[in-house]
Amino acid sequence: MTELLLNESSWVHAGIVFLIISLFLYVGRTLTRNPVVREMAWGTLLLSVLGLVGAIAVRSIQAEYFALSNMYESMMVTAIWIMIAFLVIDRWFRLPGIGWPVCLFLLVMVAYATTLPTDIRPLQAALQSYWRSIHVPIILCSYAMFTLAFISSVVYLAKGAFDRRLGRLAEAGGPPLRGPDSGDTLTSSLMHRVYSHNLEEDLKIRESRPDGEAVSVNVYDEITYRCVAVGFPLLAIGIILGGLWANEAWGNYWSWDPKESMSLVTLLAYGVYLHMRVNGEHSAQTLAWVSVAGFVMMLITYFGVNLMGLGLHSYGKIGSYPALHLLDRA
Amino acid sequence: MSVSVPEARSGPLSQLKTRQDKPARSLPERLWDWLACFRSVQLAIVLLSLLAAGVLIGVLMPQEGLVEVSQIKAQYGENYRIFKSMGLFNVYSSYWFLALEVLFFFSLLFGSFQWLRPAFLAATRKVWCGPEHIRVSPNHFWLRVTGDEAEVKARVSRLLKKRRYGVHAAPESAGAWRLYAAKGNFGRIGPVVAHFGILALLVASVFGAFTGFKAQKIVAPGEGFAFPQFDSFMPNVDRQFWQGSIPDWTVTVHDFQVKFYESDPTTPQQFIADLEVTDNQTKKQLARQEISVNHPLAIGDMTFYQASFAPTGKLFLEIDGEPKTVEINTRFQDRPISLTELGDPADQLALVVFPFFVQQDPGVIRNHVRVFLHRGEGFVGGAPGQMPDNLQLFEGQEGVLNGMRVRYIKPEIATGLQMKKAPETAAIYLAFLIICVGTVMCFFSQRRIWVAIEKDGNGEDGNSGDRHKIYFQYKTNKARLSFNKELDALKRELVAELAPTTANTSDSTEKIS
Ligand code: HEM
Repeated sequence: MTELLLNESSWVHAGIVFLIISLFLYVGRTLTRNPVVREMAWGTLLLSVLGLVGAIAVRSIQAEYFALSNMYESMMVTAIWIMIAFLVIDRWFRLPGIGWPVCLFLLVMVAYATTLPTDIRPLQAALQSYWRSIHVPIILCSYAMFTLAFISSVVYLAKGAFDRRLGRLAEAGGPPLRGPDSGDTLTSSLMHRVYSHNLEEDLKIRESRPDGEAVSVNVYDEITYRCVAVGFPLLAIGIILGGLWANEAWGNYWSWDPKESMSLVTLLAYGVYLHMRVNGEHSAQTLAWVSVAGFVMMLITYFGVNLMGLGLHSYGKIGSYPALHLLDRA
Repeated sequence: MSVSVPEARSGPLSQLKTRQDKPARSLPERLWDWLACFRSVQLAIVLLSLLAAGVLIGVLMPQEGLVEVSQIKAQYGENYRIFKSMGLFNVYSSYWFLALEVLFFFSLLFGSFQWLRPAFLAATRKVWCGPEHIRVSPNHFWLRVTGDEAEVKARVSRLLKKRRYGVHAAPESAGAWRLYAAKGNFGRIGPVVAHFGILALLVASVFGAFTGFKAQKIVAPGEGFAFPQFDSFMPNVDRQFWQGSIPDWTVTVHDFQVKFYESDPTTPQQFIADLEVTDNQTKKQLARQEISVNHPLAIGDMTFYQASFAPTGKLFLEIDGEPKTVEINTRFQDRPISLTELGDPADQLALVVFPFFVQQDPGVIRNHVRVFLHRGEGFVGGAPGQMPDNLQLFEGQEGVLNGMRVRYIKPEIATGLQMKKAPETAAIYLAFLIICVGTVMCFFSQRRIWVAIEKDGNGEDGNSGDRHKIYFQYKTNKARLSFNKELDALKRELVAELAPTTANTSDSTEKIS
């Protein structure tokens, strides 16, 4: 039994199996909107995240350091963050349409991660620092939030395109009113008719802009915004911690290397998103595209600088963790 | 249930605005107005996008300093000079990027001044609204309640407090009962704090550029040097603009060691230098400490980093039991070697040592030497055309060459010290902290609810004193989804708490449609 518990791959496999089940349940949930299916999907995803956390824990015990030093490990930790964040969002907002795309994305991601080299190697001098175990997980958590923002933007855009095709959006009187996802109290129908929203996807929430004009808020648009609103401070803090680490170890906060610069581009891109949002003059669709662009920047930061050898200055290949390129200067 | 909730309407507030004739304005006032253009979020969006694009170019194009110039020239051929003049190979110090940064700074600076007051007021000012105001707001609902007025007011207040709203009743002088409830006020200050942090960061880095420097020195163990005898000294800005100073200190390296992994002898596990720093004026010891990678020594605004290591060229040997230190002093077929005369010069006997170092010589996984003897014109021993007699010795190993016992103890390895003076460090750390706190504060929404009460009906049914309409107006600056969730819950609680005396359910449902 202990042997099985100390076997990393049994944990990974358990995580993947639960993830697949969860994917099917979330598909079922979108189709049926059945609360039992919803709870089961949520529960299975929780089991899946426990599997992956177990895998990283076992790995850390074997490596005798926090196992977050190569691409495989960093993708696993990112997947864990995505799952945790999604579990919270799903508990809070109960959106029927976003669970299966998230699970599908996670499945592809975890499957890809398992094809990467997974051998455990000793750490370079430059990486033996407590900064590593603070800086890296925070950055990865911000990436997880941006990934969820991306998925919800894509769902928003896809849904918009779909609705336009059906010609539903243009109809006067707005979309039909539907019951809420969750079981509700007797006042619910009254609530919905009055506020013309039910916390569900195609209902519009009437809100006011400073000039008093009513605007509608879409739920997926809102989820994107909140995810960016969490991811942005995390990335800012992560980059700052990276600067502190570099300063402590090499005497430089910032040296404009491609990895650092690219993370700044990502931060600026999401800064553009937030300011466009504050501005209030941009449509939800434009904002969704900006969030997609931010995600592309994030992908380039995460993979591109290494894989594409951008700027003729690639550090390491898959197998050595990209954000830790700084060790090359030691 | 005696609850009625009308459909939200968009208010014709905009029409209420009246145009005022502008009086003549003073110059500072006009300047202030003109600076207001920096407040524009649109400008911020453009500047942030341009900055992002600029940094992206720096990532996509090879940058001088990171990539050999000859390589860039080969890659870009004829376009090299055009691209170069556009600063594309030196983006981060190009004029257009600098100009962008300056513009960014001023936008942030004047922008911040401009929203400081409104944000502060929105977070701190209490405003009360009457029913006539709330009725025309797009975000409102009302309830018709029957019962003791004082009791109703107390319940509304309690429900809002339960949801952690700060509830403030209008002063007596207002003449009517009004509530202003708010939570997350600090969220409103968040952007101000975050932007102030970025400004502080920019100011601190400019200050650091004019007063800080970096320097390097390679020091062998047992040796020392006095400031400013560095191998290289780099003020952060051009020498002629530099305003900083160099402390009058002496640094001694008492010991230095490089440790390699046992499992992987080519990967250094740690470099450790034992440093002592003394003040030349007071002759006092300022610090004595071991430094290693990730563990620098900081004295005030000076920091000493363990940056690298390098063989000094000295090799410690033992010849027939006697310690002997030789130095790399010549070359043989382009390899640095040591040639040391032994014994009587008349013998013309010399010891030749070829050193091999990990991380310096390709394929070498442990430091070692090859030792030969040389007499007159040629090497000693070995058939013609073949390798002369020699010994390969790893650190600590001993061997016999032509009857001579030779032991290789170790090479002398010097530490590469990097020194930095950064008077701005404390300010930078503070700015970092402010940015972190500010951006986290930005996450939280400021939610506000205004409540007003009004008598309902005019006594036809004989209990006019008991019938009231309570108006609620609500507003949040973000997080609309959770705010709506909260409002839904609040409404449910209001219905449950305020409508125990059911009177007119049909009436209320009719009103909704
Ligand atoms: C060109 C300079 C900039 C200008 C003029 C500017 C302007 C503004 C304005 C007017 C707001 C709205 C403030 C409010 O709600 O009271 C805002 C919000 C914000 N800004 Fe900036 N900004 C600039 C640069 C930046 C930068 C570089 C950052 C990166 C840290 C940043 C981060 C934020 C954040 C996090 C918010 C809050 C967004 C939200 O509430 O969702 N800003 N900015």
